[in-house]
Amino acid sequence: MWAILDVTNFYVSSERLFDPSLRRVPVCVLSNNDGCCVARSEEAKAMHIKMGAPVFKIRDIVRRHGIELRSSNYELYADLNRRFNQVIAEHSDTVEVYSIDESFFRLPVTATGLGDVASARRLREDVMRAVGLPTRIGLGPTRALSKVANALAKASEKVWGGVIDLHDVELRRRLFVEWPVEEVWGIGPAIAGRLRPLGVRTASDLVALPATVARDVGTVVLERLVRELNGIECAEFSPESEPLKATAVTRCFGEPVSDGKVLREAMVRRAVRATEKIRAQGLVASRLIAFAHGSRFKPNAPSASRSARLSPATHDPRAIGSLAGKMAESMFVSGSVYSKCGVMLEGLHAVEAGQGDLFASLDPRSPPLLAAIDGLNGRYGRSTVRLASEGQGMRSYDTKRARKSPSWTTRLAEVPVAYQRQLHQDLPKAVVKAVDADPRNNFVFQAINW
Amino acid sequence: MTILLDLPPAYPVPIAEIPPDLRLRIVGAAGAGFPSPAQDWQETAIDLVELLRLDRAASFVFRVSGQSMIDAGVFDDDVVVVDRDAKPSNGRIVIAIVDGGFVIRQLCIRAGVPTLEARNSRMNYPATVADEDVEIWGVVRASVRNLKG
Repeated sequence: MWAILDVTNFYVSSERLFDPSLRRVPVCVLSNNDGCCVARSEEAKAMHIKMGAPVFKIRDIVRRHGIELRSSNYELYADLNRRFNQVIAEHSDTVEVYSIDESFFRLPVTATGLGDVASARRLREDVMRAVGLPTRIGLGPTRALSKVANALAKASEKVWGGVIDLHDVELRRRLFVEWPVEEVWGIGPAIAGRLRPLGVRTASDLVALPATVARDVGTVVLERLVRELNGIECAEFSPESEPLKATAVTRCFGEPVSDGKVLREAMVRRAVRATEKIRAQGLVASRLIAFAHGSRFKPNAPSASRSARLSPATHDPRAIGSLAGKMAESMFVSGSVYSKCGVMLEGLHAVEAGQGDLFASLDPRSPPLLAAIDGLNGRYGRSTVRLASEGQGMRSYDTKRARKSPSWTTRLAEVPVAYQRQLHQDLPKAVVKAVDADPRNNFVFQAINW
Repeated sequence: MTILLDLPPAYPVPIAEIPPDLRLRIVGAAGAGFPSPAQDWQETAIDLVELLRLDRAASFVFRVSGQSMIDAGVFDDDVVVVDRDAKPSNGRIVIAIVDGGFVIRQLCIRAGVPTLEARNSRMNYPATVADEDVEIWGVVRASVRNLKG
């Protein structure tokens, strides 16, 4: 049988694990550049802060209610993701990481043919004990049913205690009648709109849809979804890991850019990062596309892109970086203000499988050089070795993460600190003030050098 | 368990700064000469990740600040390995959340009442009753100390 585990408000729960001051207060975690809310605590949801709400629009309510804001701490979330998947792997021999906060896994069915709810409950307790994260688990005979079970468990956590099993056909019938079709996994607004004229409004209507009709309305994917919701597992339904065909590194600027040299440097940084991504997968690219544009909300905003064939196909940051830099120079219009730029690498294929170029010969010294650069950057941190054209250090255009918590679990200099401090209730007021004023007792954002 | 470490600087050292008397380990024969007779017995460096079991899902690292636990052998600036999944039992050193901050204390059950006590006979740290306002975050399993200071 299939199961899926998801972490409740994953980013917020991760921040709270190492910052006790965030417990029981409303918390929002912000997207790249601290632009909008991408995760909310239950308290923040109760204050009607919407998913994706831009920070400038909620500034008043944030101040009035003392909502704590944090930048995304991807180092922390990735590490905790590894940890909870490790706990799942102790319970299951098949774990499929579905996203940063959810994983599918298999469990054996019980003797009665139902889902093993007791094991799922134990797993929830184990994840809480080992990693300190609250979770919910959905069980079902197929992946799609486990996903629906998980969504139901989320919507009625108090009633079901965070675990729902949808093996029982009767229970499915009862719950599906009240489950709107657009909240079923994989049903987007477009498909829901095409289903409505057919009278399909709930999950139970969808389950009753004949396969041929499903194929006509949607695609073969919808047909498979209907079959999975009826408890028939479709092997093809599994999210296949196709080889990467293209990759992009695009980022908004922390501060707008109006200088051609700065735009060029930012473009080179993105290009170099893109080459790191494809090198890590053993791929080379045969086409480079670079673009830059201004704010969508401003009139006469600049917008331009350039593309070029890479021959021979390459993943060398020197070649791709300098070409991207030249593209940035050629598209820059003086007097314009840019808010975003990025590169795409296309036509990716494995290093060996590449077609040779009749007129270009590869430098035999390049592979060991690139391996040495990647090794040093992997060991001593990104950009330890870099192109001169990437510039040095943080720039005002870099992604803003002004409210980022420390990388508590991955950097020795930033691990949480346990204090000796005496307890407030036992100390005279003057001493409490002195303790609080001492920056060493500010346990949240302290970094220590050994 | 206490492990004593003298860590080298965690950044690349320019070749010019490498002391001339530095001894380098020979890792293999370079074509000419006899192959090393030890080749088949070569092992990798001792792995402290394995020793400290840092790859467990429930192993976390904290740093200690202050003198509150020196009688228990945990000193200022020590790095401690904390098991979140270990049972906090009588006598274990624990990381707890008290008054919204992390502290390191020994958990002692006194007449059935769990209390958090400091271990420093020269200073008078008050004991805390571990009531519902106190959360035991994890149990300290190992301490790593830098003797260089």
